[in-house]
Amino acid sequence: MGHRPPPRLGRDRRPAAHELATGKITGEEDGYSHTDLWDFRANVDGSRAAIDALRPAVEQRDATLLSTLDAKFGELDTLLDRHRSGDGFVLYTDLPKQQVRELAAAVDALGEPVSKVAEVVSRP
Amino acid sequence: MTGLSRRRVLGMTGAGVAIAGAGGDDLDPARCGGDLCVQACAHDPQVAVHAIRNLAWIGFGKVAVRWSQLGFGRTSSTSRAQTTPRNLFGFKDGTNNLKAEDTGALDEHVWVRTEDGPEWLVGGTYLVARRIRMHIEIWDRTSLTEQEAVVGRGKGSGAPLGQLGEFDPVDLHVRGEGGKPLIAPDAHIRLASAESLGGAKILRRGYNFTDGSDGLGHLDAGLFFLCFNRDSRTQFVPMQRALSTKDAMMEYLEHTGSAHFACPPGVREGGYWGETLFA
Repeated sequence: MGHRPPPRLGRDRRPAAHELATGKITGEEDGYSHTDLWDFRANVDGSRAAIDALRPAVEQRDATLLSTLDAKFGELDTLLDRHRSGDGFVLYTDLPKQQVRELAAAVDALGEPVSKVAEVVSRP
Repeated sequence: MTGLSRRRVLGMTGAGVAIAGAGGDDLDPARCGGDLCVQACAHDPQVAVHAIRNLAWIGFGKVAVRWSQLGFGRTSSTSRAQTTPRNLFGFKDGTNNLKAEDTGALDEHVWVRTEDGPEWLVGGTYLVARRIRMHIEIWDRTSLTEQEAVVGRGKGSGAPLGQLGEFDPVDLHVRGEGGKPLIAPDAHIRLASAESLGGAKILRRGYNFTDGSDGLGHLDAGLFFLCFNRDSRTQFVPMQRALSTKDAMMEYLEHTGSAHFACPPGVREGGYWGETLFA
């Protein structure tokens, strides 16, 4: 199978966190052959930065959503940290299926609250 | 198969239609190409599967099944007698499809003519099959406004953005706030429109599919896209090239299978299928 194209970044209509969910962990077993989890980490950081930029607005309008976001980002951080190796991460292809599933579930768990951010901050 | 090989048309290859620069393709060779294609349709999948099973049985020793796809529902209306069905993204699909009643348009866009050649295919057509995985869960997380912007139609009514009714003509030139086109430059219906493609149209006749889950908690589901056209090089290929490079929907799609087949004309009284080719 061919490589998936890298997720397109910088679309103006949706939060960067969206890219995390579409671009990674799609069930294509070898879609990320020979890559490590650096990209994954970078995507999480990008999403986090996008959310952080909106933090005051989210806090003011939906404090519960913000704490859910923080919790889910935290869970993903913890999971990712388990796969650190030296200065970086283990190869994606070396991850046992169960751990890929855990990452996928954590991304889904984060994707849900992230998807609500745009609606919350655009409320009049 | 040398007899058939000599009659290859349109540069068809085992890998299906070659689409240069098609992003979003993640083709699985095990779901691509093939020499012969059989489509069985029935109201109950048991009947269709039974037909395929028996045809494969008859063929053992001569042919072997390379790949198959079970679909359900219908993703495009193909007649004015049908109400427009919804695809797995929840949108009405096929509103602007070629319809069985438009025999003039079918002649223009679907049936191969004498001047197109080859002679044995006159009155026949070309089938393009694409297995398109749809990332349903990601789509469901996308806001309604964003979904409608991606498609270019309202989700409830099916009306083109800027219009009221499903069958109101698409107007790609309506502008909204700040002079921005209501149907965005990267909206699916804009890029797939005949207006954007120099008049090219195809007859879509696809199905939904669900092949269980992907092992990571997501549906392995999507659209088994089937279309018929007179010349895939000037109809399907330019359309797919525009969609694969510009369509906002591509973010939610992945093309995982592809094939291209020539379909001989229908059978005449006393004739047999493929007669024009084999006689």
